[in-house]
Parts: sequence; structure tokens; C-alpha cells
Amino acid sequence: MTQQVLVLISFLIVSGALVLVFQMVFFSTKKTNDIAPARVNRYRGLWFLMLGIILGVVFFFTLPRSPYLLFVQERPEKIIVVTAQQFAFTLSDESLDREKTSAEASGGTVLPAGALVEFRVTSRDVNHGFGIYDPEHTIIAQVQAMPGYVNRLRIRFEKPGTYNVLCLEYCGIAHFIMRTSFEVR
Amino acid sequence: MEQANSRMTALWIYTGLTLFPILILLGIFMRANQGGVITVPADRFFSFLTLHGLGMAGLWFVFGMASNNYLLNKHSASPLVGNIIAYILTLIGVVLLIIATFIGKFAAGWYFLYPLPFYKTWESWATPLFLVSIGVLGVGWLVWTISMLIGILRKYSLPQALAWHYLRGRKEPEVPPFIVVLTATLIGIFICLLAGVTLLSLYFGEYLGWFKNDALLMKNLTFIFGHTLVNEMLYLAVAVLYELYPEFGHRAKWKTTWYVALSWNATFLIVMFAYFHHLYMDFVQPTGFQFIGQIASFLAPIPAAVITIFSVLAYTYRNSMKWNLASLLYFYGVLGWAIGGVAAVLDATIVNNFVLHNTQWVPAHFHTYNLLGQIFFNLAFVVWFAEKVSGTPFSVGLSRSIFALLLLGGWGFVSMFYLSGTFSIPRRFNLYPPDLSMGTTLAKAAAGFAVLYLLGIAFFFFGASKRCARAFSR
Repeated sequence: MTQQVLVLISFLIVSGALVLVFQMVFFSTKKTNDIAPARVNRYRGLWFLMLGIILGVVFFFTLPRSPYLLFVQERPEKIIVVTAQQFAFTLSDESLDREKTSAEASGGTVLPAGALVEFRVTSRDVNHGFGIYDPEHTIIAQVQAMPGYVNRLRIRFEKPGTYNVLCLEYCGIAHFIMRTSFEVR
Repeated sequence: MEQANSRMTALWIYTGLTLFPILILLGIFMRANQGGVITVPADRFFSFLTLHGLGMAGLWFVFGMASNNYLLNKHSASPLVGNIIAYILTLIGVVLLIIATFIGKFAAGWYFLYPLPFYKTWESWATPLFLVSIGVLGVGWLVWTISMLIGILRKYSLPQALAWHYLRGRKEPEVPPFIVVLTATLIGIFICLLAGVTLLSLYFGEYLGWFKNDALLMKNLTFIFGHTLVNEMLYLAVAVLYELYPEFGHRAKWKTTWYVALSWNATFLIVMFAYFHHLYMDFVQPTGFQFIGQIASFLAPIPAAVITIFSVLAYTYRNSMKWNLASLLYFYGVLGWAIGGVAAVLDATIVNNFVLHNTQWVPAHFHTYNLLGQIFFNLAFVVWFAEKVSGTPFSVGLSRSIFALLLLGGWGFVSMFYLSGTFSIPRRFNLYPPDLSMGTTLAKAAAGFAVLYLLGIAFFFFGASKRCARAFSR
């Protein structure tokens, strides 16, 4: 199950509970009577506490898995420089200063399965996105490509196959065709 | 004064209800094009995208301001001239925006992310015209914000209007929650508009060749301006809810308490830092800021959920409510707001954002709390206002038809976005590649649901327009 599906399921569970509560309250207006304000405040306090605890737990469990902290102690086995420019990516294992055309590099990159790869992502013109899709067409990672900055994304590809890269930041009217791919073997 | 105030409000309503269906149509064209039902050339598609996004945000912002301005005058008169200047400058700004996008084909998106406006594939005059149009709108809204703050400060000092005395255990002078929410929101709007002015100045500075800007700084300014303003426009609609919702039940009106005061002062502060969640995928942004973004995004809904949503539920529970179109829109609008908020919190969790950022999960959550939350609140105000000035309630049949179409069309429409987000469909694509053909199917269904919503709005326009006309004949 992908992370996106897990998010959808969590969303549906919470939303379903909200719909039930709202419907129950809506139908309760057929039988009317007053409620003591002290009781309302007690429930409000409990609700506040419960919500605070849930959000706190989610916060502390998810933060260490954030992409900035992933693999920080490890040394990448492969470094790939990604240069985005309207409307193509150049993938290269050369330094940023070396000019390489997209035709020469894109589609020809092969990465070893199981190795820690660091993508150094930048842009020559406007903001772009660097979204990696696995062979099942699901996004597994992304980072922005920003002019004047290099964003470093570290990732380990376990599954062999063809990975597509799509631009995920709107970058102009041909944004939707901006893509490349690489192989993991 | 009361008559002039009603007429100005009716004028805003007519303008808004005319623009809204046009902007919905642009959205339908985009989804129909993504679904392969019609063909919109790419340059047109992205200029539609720009106008749709900016137009909707601007429209519902001014709707929120206009309804608050109307209700504020019941408590303390704000200078009418501020409202008039805002109306004139909004009209001028909108016309310039339409020229820049429709004729000039300006297509850098609602947030015109630096430095894209300088890499133009559209008419060269369209970029400066677009920036001028945003400047004109910003000036008009800044004047309006100040004019409303003047109205509040005529009756209360600033600490009183923010209910700080309640935090110290005092209840005098009594300040209605409406004033507390509105004051906190107006100050927030003032700050975002200042960020907008700074952003535009930096654009013009570079346009004139004086200096080159920094992409990360510009991104921060863009989101503190745009994202925070959109948040504040939601709170404008909530301020009106505080004032009007108790009119539909038999219990006493809400009063300000220490926790209402604390909640809205906290929200005002927290929301200023939540925009960092738009920069999670810029790894060079200091990591501390990213964590602040998640903390603020998690804290922001706590006051809203604990105070406003809980209060609406508690007020409604076993209360003999007068269920009509306005109260139904309020009640189910709160549900839409809450569900949209849940989806937003999920996206604002960094690990989820890693795979959801700039996918259709994002339009899913904001369309939920806008289309099915905040717009419901604004439409509820229009119903309340139209019935008040005309003395004629909406008929049961018309109310049921409108409500059913808005619910079915709206929820069906956003569901397609949620599914698209789950299946990794990117946002801001005019066409989907064959490996993401699921996006095409879902877009087609979304266009169908949007047509139902549009039909509901057409019925609404029919019901509201003839009633609002009475504001001019009285």
C-alpha cells in the first residue's frame, strides 16, 4: 500500500466521523432541550485535550522521517547533478560547472539498485519541480529546482526498473511535457 | 447611512454573483480539457488557470470584506468612502487583470512565482500590466482594511477590540466575538498586503533593471502574501458566522469569553507562520523553518476546531433550529471547512507533503474548505441579506434545489481531486501523459460535477438577485 493510499484512508476515517457527528447533531434538533454550559465546557476541554494529544503524537512520530533528516549520517554512493531549464532536465554525474546537453544525458542515466543516491537539483531559469515516479507511476520523492540554489535529495532505490521524473512546479506553458527518466538496475 | 450601506453591499453581491459563474466556467473548461472532452490551447489553458485562481481568491476576499463591512456598521460606523474606493479600485484591477490574461495571455499562475513573469511566452506588455493590476487591487484593499479598522477603533481601543481584557479576567466593556475575529483578521490582512507591496516593489525594481532578486526570498514573500491572505479570507467568513448563525436558533447569542479571546489572538499569530508548509520541498530553507511550518499548521486548526466548530455543534445540538437555506449553508459549510482542514493538516505533515506536494491533493483540500466551506458561509450571508432587504424568504423548492445541487456537485467535484492526488496526478497540467491516464478519467467526471455546482449557483443567482434589487428601490 502506498503512502498516498494510507493518507486517503486516514482522511476518509476522520471525515466519516465528522459527517456522522454533524448528522447526529442535525437530527438532534428535532428533540429540543437546553444543555448546561458547564457540561459543554467540560466536553470542550476534553476535545481540546484529545486533539492536542493526537496532533502531538503525529508530530513526534513523523518529524524524524522528514526528508531533511533522511540518510544524513551516510555517505552517498552516487551523486547526480540535475539541472532544470524550460522545459527539460539534464541529469549528469559531472560537476555543475560542466555544460551538458539534455539530449546527451537524459534517458541514459543508470543507477545501482540499493545504493544511496544524492540528487543535487538546481535550475538555470525559473522554479521547477523534480518529482520521481516509481515504475508503478507513484510519486516516491520530490524536491524543488530553484535558480541560485542547490537542493540535495537523498534516496535509496530498492526496486529495479524505469523511473520517470516529472516537473511538479508550474514553470510555463510547456510545463506538462517537461520530464525525463532513468533506470535502476 | 443604513440605506447607502445596504446599496454598497448589494452592489458587491451583484458583482460577485456575476463574476463567480464566469470563473467557475473557466474551471470547467480546464477540467474538461484535462478530461479530453474539449480542446483548450495550452497558452489559453494557463491564462485561464491564472485568472481562475486569482479571480476566485480576490472575489471571495472582497465578498468577505463586504459582508463584514455591512455587519460592522451595526456596531460602529466605518467610513463609507473606504468601501467605495475599494469597489472602484477592485473594478479597475479586475478589468486590467482580464486584459492581461485574456488578451495579453499572461499565464504565470495566481502566484506568479519569481522569476517566471520575466520569462514571458505571452505579450511583453502583459507582465507589467498584470503587476499593476495586482498593485491596484492591493491599494484598494489596503484602504478598505484601514477604513474598517477606523470603524472598530471609533468604538473600542485596539486591546479592547482584541479582547485582551478578557484574558485578564475582566468582561467590561463587552466586545462581541464578531469584533474580536474581525479585528484580528484585519490586522492579519494588513500584514499580508504589506508583504504584497514589498513583493511588487521588488518585481518593479528588477523590471527597471535596478537589482536582481533572490528566488528564495521572493518565494517566501509570495506565500506570506498569497497563502496568508487566503487564510484570512476564510476567517472573514467565520466572523460573519459568529454574528449571524445564532439568529437561526433560540439560544442566546455567543459572548466573548477568555478562551474565545485567546483562540483568535493565537490564530492570528499562528497563521502568520503556517505558510512555511508551501516551502517544505525547498530543502535549502533552514530546517527549523520547515518544522515551524508543521508546528504552526498543526496548531492553527486547534483554536478553530475547539472554539468555532465545537461551538457551532454545541449551539445546534438539541436547539430548535430554523432550518432554511442560510442556516443549512452555515451548518454544512462548517462541515466542509472541517473536512478541508483535515486534508490540509495531512498535507502539511512533511512526510506526506514529500509525496503530495503539487499533486491534486492540494487543490482537493483548498477547494473543499473554499467551495464547500467559506463560499457556503458567504452565500449564507447573501441569503440572509437578500431576505432581510426584500422581506421575502427563498421558497422551500428553490432552497432545496440549490442546496442539493451545491452539495452533490461540490462534493463530487472535490472527490475527483482527492482521488487524483492519491494516484499521484500532478496539478497544473493541461494534459496528462499516457502513464497517468487516470487523471484524464477523473478530470472528465470532475467537469460533470462542476456543471451541477454551476447550475446550483445559477438558481442561487436567480433567487438572490431579484431580492437584492430591493436594496436600491427602498
